[in-house]
Amino acid sequence: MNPLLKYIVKRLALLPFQIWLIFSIVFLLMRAIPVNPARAILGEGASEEAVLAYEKFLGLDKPIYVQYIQQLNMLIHGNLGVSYQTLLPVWHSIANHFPITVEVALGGMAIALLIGWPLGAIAAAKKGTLLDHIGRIYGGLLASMPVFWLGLMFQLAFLGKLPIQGIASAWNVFPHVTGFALIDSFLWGGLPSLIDVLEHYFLPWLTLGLIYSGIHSRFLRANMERTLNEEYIKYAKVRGLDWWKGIIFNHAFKNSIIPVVALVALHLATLLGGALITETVFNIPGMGLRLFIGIYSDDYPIVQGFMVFIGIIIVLTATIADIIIAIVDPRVRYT
Amino acid sequence: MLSSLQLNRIFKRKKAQKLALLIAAAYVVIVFIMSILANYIAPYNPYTVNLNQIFLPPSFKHIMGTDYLGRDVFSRIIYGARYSLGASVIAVALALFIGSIIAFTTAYIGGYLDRAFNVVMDTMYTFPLILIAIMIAFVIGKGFFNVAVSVAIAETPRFYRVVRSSVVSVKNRGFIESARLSNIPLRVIIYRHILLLVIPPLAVMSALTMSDAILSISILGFLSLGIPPPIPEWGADLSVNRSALLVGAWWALTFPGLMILVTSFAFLLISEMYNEITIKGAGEI
Repeated sequence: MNPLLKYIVKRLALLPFQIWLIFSIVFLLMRAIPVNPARAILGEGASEEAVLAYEKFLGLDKPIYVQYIQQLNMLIHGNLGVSYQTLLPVWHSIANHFPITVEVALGGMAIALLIGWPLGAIAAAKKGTLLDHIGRIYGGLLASMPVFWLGLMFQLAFLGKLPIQGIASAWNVFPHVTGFALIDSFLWGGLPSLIDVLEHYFLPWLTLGLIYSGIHSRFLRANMERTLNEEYIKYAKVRGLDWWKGIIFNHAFKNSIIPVVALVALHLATLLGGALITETVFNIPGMGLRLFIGIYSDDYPIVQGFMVFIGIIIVLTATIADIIIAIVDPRVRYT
Repeated sequence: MLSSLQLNRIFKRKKAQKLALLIAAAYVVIVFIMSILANYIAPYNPYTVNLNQIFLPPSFKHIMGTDYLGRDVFSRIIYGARYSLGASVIAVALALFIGSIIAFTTAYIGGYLDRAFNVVMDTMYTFPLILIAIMIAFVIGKGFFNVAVSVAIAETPRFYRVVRSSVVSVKNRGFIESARLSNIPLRVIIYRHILLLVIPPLAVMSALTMSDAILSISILGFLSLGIPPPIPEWGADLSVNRSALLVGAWWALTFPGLMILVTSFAFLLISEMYNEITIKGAGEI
């Protein structure tokens, strides 16, 4: 068989196993919690009978392996359970909050690349100079900066100049259509409404973008460094091509970008973690905010369902990234 | 052959790297001493609430101002080093221990056991560190040791990967086989031929992981899943002081965050500079 095809099949075959693994770990962890959920919901004053009855209602009276098989079966059918607090399906919360998180994460990623790639390209082109060292220090500083603190600093700096909480002003009450705030607001109130949402997204995007720009500038710098050592770059130099446009952009940048794109996909997972935390700083009603509400109110199905869902998203992007890398870089296929 | 000009550049760069390593290490030592001698250095008791002195700006009396309960920010930062650094050190030590033990045994035995662990650890590795830590902290609850354990579990796959790749690369090499054939005991083989080889990359990974552990512990603290208030942990202090935004008390939000940033950066610097000086060597110009 074609080695590439074989690799893709092998990688895809691993996927269900990984999802099962994530589900099992999350399930077992959730059952390790010493708190009785029925007791937590009903409160300390509830009678023993009420707690037992509620346990039965939640299905917690069955042995743990029965619960495991039941929930695994539910997961296979795309059911993530029901929230203890709202008694609505977990899918309902995901449908409401996930699109917002996607907007936060992708906007942050776009800014990270817009800042990180030019920095990385300049650093590689000016290797060993002061500019390169400044770029490295910048990357290191941002890699060790707590994302929530940068958010707080922006809130301090832009207090009164830009909105620092939520995703829309009080007048901007667009209804839930697609779940994506950028689309829904435009459908409801046209451009002014969209601009209002963009203003609210600006600081969270900037926070995430700056934090992750350091990593991407490093990725690109490392890859361009490798490309710049290639023979065809020497040939291009000998031909007398213009350094910035001819060599750096047309030869080095374009050839370095493909492996970096796969790394970007792989890095979406890390960015997702940052996005969830950024949401809590800026009070943006995405998955992060909902997850922490679930955590503080001991809403186990929400926590379990969200974690499994995020896990599935992460292994999916990792698989796609691996396949892109295998397509681009033939060496991977034969390992 | 290297020209004298190139050699000159190598030495210059090595000098700069050593200087950076020295500064970062000195900073880390100072913070450690600060955390141990907090009782003597801190000008105030970090727990003393003084509602008459809420959000006082920095002055000679309170060099970093006071927070939302009138507590001295500088004293809280000094005491905070104990909890933030202490929990990070425990987390990294635990992760190093667990990860290495698992990797050594499974990789040395090989076969299906090794493969199964590899898939589990790889799946964990693709997860953002902080998400694993959040979930485990949710399960085992707040507190100093619980936070350290949460972060340790999240970091275990990193050490596992470092050790496993070293063991696998060495395991089938000729000198291991000849050592085995000449009846050298297993523990001697592991100690002399594998462990000594793994130590430099493990040291680099430990410093890098310290940098991440400090961040993760502060994030858990900020999300009130970590070391609970009124313990002066840096991240938790940022969370409880969020009302400072409304009155513009920047000092209560800036200084604890700066401590996290600089301390985490120092460990990152140590890891990178040490890596470049010892492992990569002078081959690179």
